[in-house]
Amino acid sequence: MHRFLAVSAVISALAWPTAPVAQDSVGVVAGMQTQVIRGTRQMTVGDRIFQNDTVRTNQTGISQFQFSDRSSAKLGPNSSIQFSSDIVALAGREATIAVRMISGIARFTGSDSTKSNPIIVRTPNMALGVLGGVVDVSAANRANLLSGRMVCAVTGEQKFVRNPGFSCIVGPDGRLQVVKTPTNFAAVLDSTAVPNAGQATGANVGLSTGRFNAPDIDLRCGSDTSAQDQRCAVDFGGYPLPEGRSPFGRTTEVGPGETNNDLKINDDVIFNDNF
Amino acid sequence: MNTVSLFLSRFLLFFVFAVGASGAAAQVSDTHGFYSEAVLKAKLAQLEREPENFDLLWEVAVIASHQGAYDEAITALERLLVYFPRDPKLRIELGVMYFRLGSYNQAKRQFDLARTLNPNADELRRLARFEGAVRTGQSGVRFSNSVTLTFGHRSNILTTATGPSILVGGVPVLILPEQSGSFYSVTGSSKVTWTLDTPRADRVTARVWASYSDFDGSFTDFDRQSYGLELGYQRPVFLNFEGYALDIRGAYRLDDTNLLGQLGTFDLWEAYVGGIKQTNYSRTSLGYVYTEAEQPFGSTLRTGVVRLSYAQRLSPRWSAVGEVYAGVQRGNSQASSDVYGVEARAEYSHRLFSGSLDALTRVSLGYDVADARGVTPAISPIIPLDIDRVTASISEEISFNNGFDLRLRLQAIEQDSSLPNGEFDDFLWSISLRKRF
Repeated sequence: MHRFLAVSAVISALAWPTAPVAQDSVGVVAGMQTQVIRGTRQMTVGDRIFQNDTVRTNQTGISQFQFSDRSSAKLGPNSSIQFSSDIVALAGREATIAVRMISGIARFTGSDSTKSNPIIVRTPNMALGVLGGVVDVSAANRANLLSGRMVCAVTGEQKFVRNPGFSCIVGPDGRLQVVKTPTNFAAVLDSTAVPNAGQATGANVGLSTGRFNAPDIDLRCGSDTSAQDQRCAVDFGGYPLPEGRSPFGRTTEVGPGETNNDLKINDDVIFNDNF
Repeated sequence: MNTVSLFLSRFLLFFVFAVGASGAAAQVSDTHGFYSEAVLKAKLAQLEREPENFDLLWEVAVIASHQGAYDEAITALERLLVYFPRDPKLRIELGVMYFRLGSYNQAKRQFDLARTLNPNADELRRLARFEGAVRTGQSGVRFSNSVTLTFGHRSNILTTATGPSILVGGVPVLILPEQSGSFYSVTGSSKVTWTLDTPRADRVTARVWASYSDFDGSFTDFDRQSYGLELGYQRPVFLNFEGYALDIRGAYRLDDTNLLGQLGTFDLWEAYVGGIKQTNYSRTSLGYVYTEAEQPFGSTLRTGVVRLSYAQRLSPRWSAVGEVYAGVQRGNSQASSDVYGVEARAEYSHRLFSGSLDALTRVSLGYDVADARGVTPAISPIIPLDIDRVTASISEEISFNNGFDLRLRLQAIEQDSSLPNGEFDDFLWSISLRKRF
C-alpha cells in the first residue's frame, strides 16, 4: 500500500499534466548581476514572474527570485529554469512553487509555508520537494541539502533527506541514492567574484566591490554560539529541542535542586527547573 | 492576601530592577519592533516597492532572524550578497544563519570566504567565535560543565506538600509537624554534560551532577546532598512529510536529607518516552512518564502517567501552554490511586542583547489542578486529594560573554488542597550565579 501511494504520488509529480493556470504572478526578480533573460528580453529588478516563464542567466549572471510565499530561488551562471504550472504535487503535497530545472544550478530557500507545501523542482533525472530549509539543485543530477528537509523522487521510489551535507543522485540503475556532497558542490553560488564593468549592465544598480554598510544591529542571539541552546531558541527554535529542555517544559526535568516526583504534587524546596 | 500584596510589591520592584539592568546593559533594544510579524510583512511590502533599498533588506534579515525564521533571513542575506558579494559582514552573518540551522559545512564555507575579504577587527572576533563553534558542531561531540551557587529564601516551607512524606493509600502525606516556617538556603552544584550529534541527526546526551544544600530554617536546620545521572536520546522520525522527534530519557536521582535526625534517603528513577512535533510557532508533545520513588520507611511510590502538552506562540513574545495528564500511582501495599490534572499558563519572554551580554526576561502565570483518588482498604476506602494552584513567576537571566550567568527569580504560589496542611501561600526568591566552562 505504501509503495502504491509513493508510486501514485510520484506519477502525479512527473507525469500528470493539469490544466494551465491563468497568468498569476509567482514572484519577482529580487536581485541580479549582469544578465537575466526571459525569452529574448533582459529582465530588471522588480519584474514580475509568471507561470510558464522560462528565465536564464548569462555566463556571469546571478539572479534571485523572491516568491509570493517568501521563499526564494537563486539562479547561478549559465542556468535556466521554467516556472511550471503542470507540476502540482509531490507525494501528495501540493506545491507552493514548482519549477523545472533546465540547465545549470540554483539554490532554493524555503519559508515557513514550504514546510508543509514544498517548493517542487523537477530536474531531468528526478523530482524534489524542498520542505523549508535550503537546497542546492544541479540540473546535472544532484540535489544537496544545506538545511531543513527534502524529499527526492523518481518513479516508484522516494527518499527523505534530513542531514545537511547529503545529496540525492540517481544512480546508473535508475534508483535514488543518498550520498555525501562533494565539498565544492555549488561553490559558484557563493562566488565573491564581481563582474567587470564590461559585463555589467544597467541593471546592476548596487553591484559593488566594496562593503555594504550594514546598520549596527546584530542578527538574533548576538554572539551566542550555542546553536541549539535555550538562550538562542527562546521557545520554538526548531528541532532538536534546546539542550536541557524537556518536551514538557519544567515538568520532566530532573537536575540539581529539582525534582518532579509525585506529579508536581510535591514541589522541590526551591525551584524545579533547570539553570 | 498578605502574600499577594507582598508578591506584587516585590514583583514590581524586581521588574523595575530587571528591566533597568538589562536595558542599561544592552545596547540594542527591540524598539524597532523586530519581533513583530506585522512589521516583517510591512517591511516586505515596502521592499516590493523599493527592491534595491539595502538598509531595508538588512532590516528584513534582522527581523526574520529574531523570529527564528532563519530561512527567510538567508533569503534576505543572499539577496544582499548578489549586490555585495565581497562584504565580509554579510558572509559572516549568512554563515551564522547556516550555523543556527546546523548546516556546519555551509557555515564554514561562508566563514572561509569572509576570511579572504579583509574583515575588520570586530568581524574577526565574531568569526573566530563561530569558527570554533562550527568545528565543535562538525565533530558532533560537545562537552560542557558548569558550577552554580544559589542563595534563596522560601516563606512557607512546612505547610507545603514538600519532600519528606509517607504514603497513605498511594498518596503522599507529610510527616512534618503542623507548623509553618521559612528558611534560607544555600546550594552549590556542579553539572557535567556530554552531547553527541551523529551524522544521522540522532542526539545522545549524558549528564551527571551533584549538589549540596544547607537550609537554615525558622524551625530547624538541615542539609541535603543530591547526586544524579541523566541519559537522553533523540532522533527525528518522518511520517510522510511530517517530521517528529522521538525522545527517550532516563534519570536517576539520590537525595540524602538530614532532617529531624537523619530522615534518610530518597531515590528517584524516571523514564520518559514520547514524541514531539515542533514548528516555529507551536510544539506538541505526547509521552509516557514512569517514576519510581523510594522513600524512607521502606515506602515506594510508582507512578505512570501519560502527558499531552501543547504550546502555541501567540506573538513573538507571548506564548500559551496547555497540558493534561492522567495516570496511576501505586504504593508498596495494595494502595493505589488515579491521578490526573490540567495545567495552563501564559508566558512572556523578552530578550535584549549586546556585544557583551544577553538578557532574557521571562514572566509566567499558570494555573493547575491535580486530583488523585486513592484506595487503601486498611485505612480508608477512598482518600481524595485535590490541589488547585496558581503560580506566578518572573525571572531575569543575564548571560555574559565571559561565561558567567546571573539569574534572579521570584515566584508566588497560592494553593488550595485537601491534603493535610495543603493550603498555603508561598513566596520564593533566589539568586544564582553560574559559571560555564
